Amino acid sequence: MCRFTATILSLLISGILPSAATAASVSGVVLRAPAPQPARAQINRYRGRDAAAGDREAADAGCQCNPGEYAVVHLTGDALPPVRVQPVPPTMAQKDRMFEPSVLAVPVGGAVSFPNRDPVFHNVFSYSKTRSFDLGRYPQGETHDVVFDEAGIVPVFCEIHYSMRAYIHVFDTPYFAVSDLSRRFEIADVDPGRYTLHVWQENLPEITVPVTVGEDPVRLEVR
Amino acid sequence: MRGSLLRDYMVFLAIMVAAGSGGAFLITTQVTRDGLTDLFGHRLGDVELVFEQYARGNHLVRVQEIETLLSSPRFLAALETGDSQTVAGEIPTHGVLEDAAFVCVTAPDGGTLFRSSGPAEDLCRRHGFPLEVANGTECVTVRADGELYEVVTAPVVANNGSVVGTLAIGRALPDLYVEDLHRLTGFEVVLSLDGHEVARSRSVPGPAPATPEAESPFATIDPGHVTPVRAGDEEVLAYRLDDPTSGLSVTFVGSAERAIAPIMADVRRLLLALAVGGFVLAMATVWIFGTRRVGGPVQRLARHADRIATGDLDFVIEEPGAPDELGKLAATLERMRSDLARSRREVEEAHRAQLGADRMAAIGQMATGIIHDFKNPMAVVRGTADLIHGRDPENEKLAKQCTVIHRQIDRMVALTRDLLEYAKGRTDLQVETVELADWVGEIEAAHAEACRRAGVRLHCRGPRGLRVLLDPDRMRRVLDNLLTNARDVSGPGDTVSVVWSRGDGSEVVLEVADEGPGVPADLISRIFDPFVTAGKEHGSGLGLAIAKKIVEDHGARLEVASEVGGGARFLIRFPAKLHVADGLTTREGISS
Repeated sequence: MCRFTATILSLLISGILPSAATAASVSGVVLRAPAPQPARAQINRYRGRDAAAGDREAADAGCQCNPGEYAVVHLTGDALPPVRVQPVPPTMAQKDRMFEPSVLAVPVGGAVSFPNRDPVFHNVFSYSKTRSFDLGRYPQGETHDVVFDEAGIVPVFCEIHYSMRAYIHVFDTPYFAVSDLSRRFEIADVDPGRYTLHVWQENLPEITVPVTVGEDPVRLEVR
Repeated sequence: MRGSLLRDYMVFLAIMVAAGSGGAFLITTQVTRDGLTDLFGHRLGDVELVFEQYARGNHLVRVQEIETLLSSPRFLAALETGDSQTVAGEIPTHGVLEDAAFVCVTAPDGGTLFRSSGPAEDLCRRHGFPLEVANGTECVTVRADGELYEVVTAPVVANNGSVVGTLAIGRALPDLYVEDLHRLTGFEVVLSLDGHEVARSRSVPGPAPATPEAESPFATIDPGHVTPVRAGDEEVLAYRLDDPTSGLSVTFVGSAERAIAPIMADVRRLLLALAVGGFVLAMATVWIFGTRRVGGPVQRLARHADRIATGDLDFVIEEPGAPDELGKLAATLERMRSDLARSRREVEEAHRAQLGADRMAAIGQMATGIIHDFKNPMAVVRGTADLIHGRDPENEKLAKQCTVIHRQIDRMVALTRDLLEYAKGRTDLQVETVELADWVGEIEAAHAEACRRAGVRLHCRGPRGLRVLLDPDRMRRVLDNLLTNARDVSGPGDTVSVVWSRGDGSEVVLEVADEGPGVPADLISRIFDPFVTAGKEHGSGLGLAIAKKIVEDHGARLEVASEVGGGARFLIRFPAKLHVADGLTTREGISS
């Protein structure tokens, strides 16, 4: 009964709002280069005596993760429609000792699945204030879901594998997107109006761009 | 064991004296003292290896633990939250980090990301820990509030690869170095920083500096050399090493005098033990030599002498293990004993011979009387027999019986005469040349009947023509006696044989053999003695003695050869002088 009333209500609202029929997409590309991946600082084991050992270890510690290649964008504005939760939660798998994909975005109330597709144990945890969780260690084939109820950024790690890291962005706006590895993005069906585009890149300051959406699609080049 | 007793003792004494004087020399010379001091110096110098291994190992362990902490995704994730409790929860509470005085993480802008709680917090704040970190992990030694801290600093690289701050972990140093190094090396340890003493182990000689800034004799010596240092009223050896990791100087201190003292005491104890041991050894040696090598042989020789004194000479004195002198003594005693034994044997034999002669003389006297008394009755018997025969000369049977009486009386007379002559010790021989074959043949005929009755075969054989000088009557007594004995010991079916032949050279041997039990071994040497009988019930004990006497009166020899169970063989050996040698004709098998 409640679901039926809500559906009627939403249909009425969408019929009343004149801009609803003229929604356009906001797309573009983030031209700012990813932050340089700092070489992991090495500990000088015994000064002046065993520098060679330190060099050898430095070579082993290269990080294969690539969250810096992505960009995450979202729009903020005065009158934002409510978020839409995907019926099937997106997946962030553990594969080849990496999180795949290493950047995800979900609306508030959305969930993420964390299947282990490696033949080794993994652990998924976050100490973030947005969502603190610890799924413990689990083997190949096992999947755990986490629901994110609060907006913010959730860095995700594996306690076993130092180099594994990922980010989950939780938005309270329906207008968000994760770019491809060329940092091209598209936010579809944005109602006309004035917005601010926020661009997130790992280890870089946020970029904000004012965007006015009319009836035509908007294309942006963010630098 | 060879060599003389005296030489053994001299060698032993020389060894003891050499050991004692050598030991005394060892502990009394300055050379030894200097050598020990040098050795001590070398040992002090050897701590460098221990120290390096310790400092290196200690540092490695700390660095590894810090690296593990800095590689912990949880620790780094906790740092990103900025929540001290979460961070503190990720710092291990074991290992090197357990006894850390403080742990701090400072952001690049100087802000504090984390500080461990407790008194260290104030320390960190006031002294600006952690210090600037230029390049990787650093280890510095800093003084704060009079305490010395080893501070390891390292950059903190977050999970996303960015440098989020600097970690500093501090430990109180004196505990670290002084206790461990003292325990590891056995030397006293003085820690100094920039020429000032900061800590020392409990038993370092000399007074500790009154203030941290005061001069310390151990902090200013040249590193890398064992150096004599005067500490208080004592001269000690010191060896300074600088730790490049912490910037600290570590001086190892030891008193050569004190180190040598126990060694000297040990040597003295050793000498004492050597002296006591030598004494005990000497006593033991004396005991062994005295009781075993000397006492034993001497006691045995004394016992031997006692035996000789009591007249027992039937043993042999031997001391093969005795030293030279005692060996000679034993040999001399043995010569004496054997000489005595031989002399006594000769005396006894002479005595026995004398005894035998005496007895023979007594028997002779007695026999003379008896025979004298026998002669008349026998003459009466013989006369009476003649008388009986004279009354009826035609009676042949009576004549025959009288002849038997005659013959037997004649034998009795002859026997008594022989006994008398044996007793007198001499016999006159009526010697003539006798053909053995004929002579034996007569005797054989005389014994044939008796043997047949006893079931004994009598077998006589020998060559004809073998002639010997002998008194036929006397020698017949011998053969009669031997044959009678042989027949008596033989059982039915046995054979008694008489064999004569040429022996070696011109000797002639006449042998009487039986198949009886033989002569017992204990009797065989005395079988010819008078009054010795071998199992004969009616023997007088004189038969073989008389036989031997008769044979020997001829200049021949009477021998016996016997094996128990194998019969007895009596041999009359006529020497060449009794053999009448001319053309011999041999005829085998004169027998019944």
